Formats: sequence, C-alpha cells, structure tokens
Amino acid sequence: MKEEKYREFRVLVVEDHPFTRQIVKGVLRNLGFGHIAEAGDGEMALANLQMSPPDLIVCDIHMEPMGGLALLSAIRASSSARLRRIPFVFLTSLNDEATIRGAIREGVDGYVLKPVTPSVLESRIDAALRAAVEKS
Amino acid sequence: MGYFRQLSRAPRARRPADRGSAIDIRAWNPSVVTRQTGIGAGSIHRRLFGRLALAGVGMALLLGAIAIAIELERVDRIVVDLTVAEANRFLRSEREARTPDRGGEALEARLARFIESRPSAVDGHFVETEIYGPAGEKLAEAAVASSAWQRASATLTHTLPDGGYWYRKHLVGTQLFVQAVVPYEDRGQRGHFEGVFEVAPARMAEMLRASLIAVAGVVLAALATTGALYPVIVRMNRALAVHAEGLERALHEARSANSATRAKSRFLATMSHELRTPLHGVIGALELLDRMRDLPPAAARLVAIAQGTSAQLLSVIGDVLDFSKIEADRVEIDCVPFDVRATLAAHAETFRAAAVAKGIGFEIEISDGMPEAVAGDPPRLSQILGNLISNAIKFTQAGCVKVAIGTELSAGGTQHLVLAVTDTGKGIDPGDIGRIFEPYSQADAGDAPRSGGTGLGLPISRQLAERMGGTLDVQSKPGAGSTFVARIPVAAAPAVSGSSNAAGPAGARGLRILVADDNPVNREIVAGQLAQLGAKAILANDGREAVALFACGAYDLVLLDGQMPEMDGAEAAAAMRGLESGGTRRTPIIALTASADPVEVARYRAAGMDDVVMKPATIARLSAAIRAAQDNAGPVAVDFGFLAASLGDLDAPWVADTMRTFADQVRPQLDAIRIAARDGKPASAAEAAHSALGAARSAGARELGHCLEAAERAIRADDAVALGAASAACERALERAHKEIESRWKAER
Repeated sequence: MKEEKYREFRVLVVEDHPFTRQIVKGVLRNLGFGHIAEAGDGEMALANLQMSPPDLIVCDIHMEPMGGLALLSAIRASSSARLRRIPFVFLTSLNDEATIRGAIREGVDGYVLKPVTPSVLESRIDAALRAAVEKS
Repeated sequence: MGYFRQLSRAPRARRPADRGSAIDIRAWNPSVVTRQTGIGAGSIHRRLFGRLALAGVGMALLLGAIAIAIELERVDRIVVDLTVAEANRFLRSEREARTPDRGGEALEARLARFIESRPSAVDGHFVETEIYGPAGEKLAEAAVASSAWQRASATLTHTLPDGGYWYRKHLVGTQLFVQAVVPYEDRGQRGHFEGVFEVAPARMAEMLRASLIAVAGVVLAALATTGALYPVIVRMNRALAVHAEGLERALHEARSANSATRAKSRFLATMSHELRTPLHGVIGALELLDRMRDLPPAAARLVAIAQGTSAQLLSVIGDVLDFSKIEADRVEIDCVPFDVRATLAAHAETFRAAAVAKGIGFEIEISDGMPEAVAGDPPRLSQILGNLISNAIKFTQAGCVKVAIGTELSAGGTQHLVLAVTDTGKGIDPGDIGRIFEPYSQADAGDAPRSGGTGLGLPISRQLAERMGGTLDVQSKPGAGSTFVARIPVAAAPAVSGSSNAAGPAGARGLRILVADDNPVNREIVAGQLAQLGAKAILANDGREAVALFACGAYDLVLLDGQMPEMDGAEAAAAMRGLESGGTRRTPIIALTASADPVEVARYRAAGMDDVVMKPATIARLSAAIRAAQDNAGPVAVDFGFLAASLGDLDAPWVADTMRTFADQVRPQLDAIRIAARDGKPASAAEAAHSALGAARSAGARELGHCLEAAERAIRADDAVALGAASAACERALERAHKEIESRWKAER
C-alpha cells in the first residue's frame, strides 16, 4: 500500500490542533512519507525551516499567533532561494473566496479542504511537487 | 598484487551507509574470493621480497582491521544491548504498573508494541517476539534441547552480563537478523523473552562493510605471517556457512514447535465451538420449556434436572477451555466498572440451591465499607468466586459454607477486592496444600469420583487471580475446614448506572430484531427467547440474507451468529455498517457466538458490532445485552470507513492512541463554545469552533462536525441562543463519538 515515491521526502506539517496534526501525520505516513516534521503554528514552522528545510509543507491556515497565510508570505519573501521554492499546500477547513484568493496571491501550490482524504491530498501534493520541479 | 589493492580498496569504494541502499552480499561468496587469492598465493610463495613488503602493508591493515573489528563488536553490542535493555525496561515497567486494565492484551503484543513505539532507540525492529512464561517453559526447553539449537548456540552463544545470550548475526538474503534471549523473573516466576530482531538497512550496511573490512584484515594478517591464505578463507567461509545453517534450522524448529501450540489452541477453540452450539439449543429449549405455565409437575422436575446437568456440562467445557487458554497464554483480562453486589453477590447467590440440596448452610456477607462499584473483570472474578464456592460445597459434608466479599488496601495503597470462602469440610493436609493448585490433581485422588469436577477449578482460579495481578491462597486445618482467599487489585470506578444490571424483559418489548443464524434449531430458540422478551424476530438463514433484509428494512437491533456460511457475522456487520455510513441512523448489532476465541471477539468489535454474547445465551443475558446496545442506537457518531480510508490500518497502535485522545482534545473547545453562548458573546467562540471542526472532520466524527457547523453559523449570525443549542448538541455528539471510539479500540487496551 505504501508508495515508495515519497519515502525520501521530508514533509513539514503545520497545524495547531494536536489531534488534527496527528491525523494529518497519519495520512501522510499512510501515503508513504518517510520523514515527517511538525509545527504548531507559523512561528514554530519558521524555526523548524531554518534548521532543516523540508521538501514539502502541508499547512493549516487558521492558527495563532502566526497563521498559514503569514507563514507562506514569509517563506516566499525569504532570502534563501531554496526556501522560496518549497512546495506549499494548504490543508484547511476555510473555503471562503477571500481566503482562497489570498492563498493564491501568496503563491500557494495546492489547496485541500478538510476533512483530508488521501487521494485528494496525494494528487495535490503530486501537482505541487511537479510545479516546483518546473519552477526550478 | 592486484588483489591486494582490490581487497583493501573495496570497502573504501563503498558509499557511506545509505538508508535502504542495496548491499552486494556476493562479496561473501567463497568461490569468488578463493579464486583470486589462489593465484595470488602462488606468486607470494615465490617472491620473498614482495612478501616482506606486503607484510608491512598487511600489518598496517591489520591494525586498522582490529580497530574496525572492535568497532564492529561495539556495533553489535549496541544493537543487542538496546534490545535487551528495551525488553527488560518493558518488563520492569510492566511489573511496576501492573494494573488489571493492562491485562487485556497479551504480554507479547504489548512488548512488540512497546518496542515498535521506540523505533529511534533501536536500529531495526522485532520481526518475531515470543514470551516463554511458566506455561511456555516446556516449549522453550524442547527448542533448546534440539540438536540444531545446541550446535548453533555452542558456537555462537554470547553471554550477556544479565544472563541473556544472543546469536551473532543471521544473514538471510540481504536481510540481517539478530536473535536475543533474555531471561526474566516476574513475580517469582521465571521465563524468558526471545526476539528475532531485524537490523535496519542502514545499520546493516554499516555492519556488513565493517565485517568485510575485518575479514580483509584477518586475511591480510594471515597472509603476512604465514602466506597460507587459501585454507584460512575456506575455513572461515565454511564456519560461517555452518553457523548460518544451524541458526536457520534452530529458528525453523522453534517456529514449528510454536505452530504446534497454536494448532492446539485452535483445535480447542473449535471443539469449544462445536460443543457450545448444540448446548445452546439444549439450554435455550430447556429455559423456554421451564417458562411454560401448564407444565405437569413431574415434567417441570425433569426440566429442572436437565437444566442443572446442562449447566454443569457447560461449566466443564468452560473449565477445560479456560485451562488450555491459560496454558497457551491467551487469557484476556478486561477492566470495566461493575457493581460488586449486583454481580458477585448475585453470582454467589446462585449456589445457595446446591448447598441447601446438600443439607449444608450457606451465608453471604458483604463488608460495610464495600464501594458500590470497582473496575475489574466481572466474568473472571465471578469465575474465581464460583469455583471457590462450588469447591467448598463439593468438599463439605456437614456444616456450612461462608462467603465474604470485601475490599482492603494493600501495603502499597492499592485497593484489593477480597473474596473469601470458608467451609467446614475435612480440610487439607499441609503436605497437600501445594498440590491442590496443580492441574489435574485433587488432593485425594480417591475423592474424584465422589466429588466430581475436572480438578481444574482451583488451578484456573489461581492462574486467573495471578493474571489479574492478585493472589489466591488457602488456610486449612485438617478436620476443621479451609478458607480460600483471593485478593485481586481493582481500580476505583464511578457507580454503575442500574440500566445494564436491572432485570426484567421490558427493554426489548416491541422491538423488531433481525436475527441471522444458519442453524435452524438455534434460530428457533433465539426467536422463542426474543418472543419471551416481547420482541419480534425477523429471521435470516445466513449473513448474506441478513444484509439483504437490512438494506430494505428498518430494524431496532440485529443479532448475528458468528460463524455462518457465505457471509459470517463480522462480514455481515461490516456490510451493514457500510450501508449505514451515508445515513444518520446507527442500528445496534450484537454477535451471538459459540466461539470463545478473543481474536474472534476482537474481529466482531472491529467490524462495528456493539456487543458479543456467548452461546448458550440465557434470556436474561440476551435481554441485558439488548438493553445495553440500545444506548448505542442513533446517528453515526464516527465514520470508521472514512478513517480507515485516511489512515490505512485502524489497528495500528498510533491510531488507537491518537483516537483515544480525541474527546480530551476537543473538549476544551466545546467548553469555550458553551461559555461564549452563556456569556452572550458568540464571536469569542469563533476560533474554538473552527479548531474543533477541523479536528472533528479529521476524526470522521460526522455528527459532531454537523453540530459544529451549526455552531459556526450561529457565531456568524451572532445568535447566542442558537449557539447555546448547538453547544449542547455538540456535547452530546462528542459523548457519542467518545463512546464509539472507546468501544472500537477497546479490544486493544
């Protein structure tokens, strides 16, 4: 069941609710991700990024103190080219037009609505990773 | 000379250990190495100068090789010491935290999970773990006595400081296994733990590379000092091959010995099933017959006799099966809150008739300080108490049997349930006291025909008491009588609501119950029992028919036989839960099974069944199960199908651990919503509602999700009244989700 393609990927999960974070990690593990890091909000995610940049970020939007949109904009404005290019997927239950437009404006690579289903998440992640390869 | 460079460079040419990198074990192939070295050896013998020069290089390499060999030894030690340390730490923690609620799972499974949960500490994982407790000792002895085992262990055993030993390395294809045996002592009883540990690919690469260098170093050293390279290599390879072969055979033998035990317990489970199925018909029919009003008195007496003897037969079957289960280490201990009076005292009461019939007195005394409810395993506790009482009645010819039920605090502060049964029988000789707890031996063998019974009651009771972390002891004065005292740790529990213990058939009156059983006799019996309870039975011949009926009709409850052709109970229940998953109604499903196998029971629970009732089932037991299961009727609280699609294996330990935290994690947010509604400030709950909604959706908690959406709408509309209603609905939905999660993952506790 586990696919080999993600085995070497490092993914960072940013989600404030610990239960949801566990579930999202489980879904990613189920998809075959071998290295999963986690952060409870945008600020923790930034600290984590500096230490070891992941190959992919799966991120919630509504978080305190630093939300997902602020994190995305900080990453895209980073001085490091490697950080700027990290594929970034939102996983959120916010589906209002303003938020989605905001996410696209900040340069998100994928937008997945909760509850997360593995097939949808996988297709968005694949698309985001492909886009990142083309960008670089 | 080329081969020197080749040998010495080969290891360096390898890349550093990569996770998952493939290892070329052809480097171990004797024929490849010997062919190269054979040619080289000839030229060395002829040229002294070359030999001296090479001796220098060889010595240098030797020093390196020794250093690496030491390193390799250390690597092995780390791997094995970690496994030994892990195993011992686990056993220690088990001992320290021995509470009844940890007894629900086999020690073996808990150990495997314990080690799996620490992948970072150990460079690999256990592919096989076995615990050889006191009951499994014979098996272990058989394995150790096997010639292959001795050959392997004679050459490869390494003694560890704490008395454990391990086998060096076991190469199968490109996988590397390390075997470790660690003795343990648990409450005075010795056993040992044995594990086959698969070394992680990265670690294996490291070890293989180091081994290769070490071998190369030894080869060079041998060459430099004697020039006799060829025989050394051949000998080394031959030795390696013999070790591997011996280990493989020992492993195989140990495995087949183990599978024989498994076959035995499977056979016993089948036997039990085969015996219980017809007995279900007998006991059920007798119970229905007993309830007929116009039975002539002579017939009623015959029915009573038949009921008594079939109950005896059932208890013998239970004893034999239980004992074999204890022997096979498969007894599962539950921990649920229960009412001591309603459960244990009522069970003791059922023995009064037997005592009165024998003309001896019978007293039950419950101590005043007895809490209303404690948490433990009620059927097992009843079994111990029942065994002690029937034993006392059996061996008492005149006088009385006294039953005392109470609690006491141990020196360590743990609450113990104390079950004491005193008789005025002939007592036990001091020399026989040890023997009465041995299986198959009643103190005086001449008594057996007179006293009846399997002689397994006391051994089973003691073993059960010990499984629950308690003790069973006896004090006796020959000629004056004996007192058996069981002390079993129990946890404090909130008072149990009366619903599941209250008798009376009202709970099932007017219900439409779908019943599936492939056995026509049992179908008729269940239909008759349900009719007695005032319920209407709709009958199906097998699981498939039941699912078809379920798909097009509404039922208040479903009773499914466990084993049916075409589609068994678990499959049918899963299909029914599948049919429900889109809707809002959840129909309680109860398994009615003759199988006592805990694995089967876990399978029924996993398929979404609410309860499992053992055959033969009495009307009272059916009634209680139906009433309890009805609490679970209603909207689908947790969509397990969705969860399984998201997370894969729902039985993975992390899933159980995570899901069990669900209610605790979401409750603070629901509290915030309730407070916001109370204070008339809906907006202040926006964040909590959003966060809880995300969690509920991730958990597949459908109903709670809908309620939280309603809460979000109320927040947006700034409607405190609507938010209050939504808040209450959320809390009810969370309770239901919590219940479903608890029952879904109960088996793994």
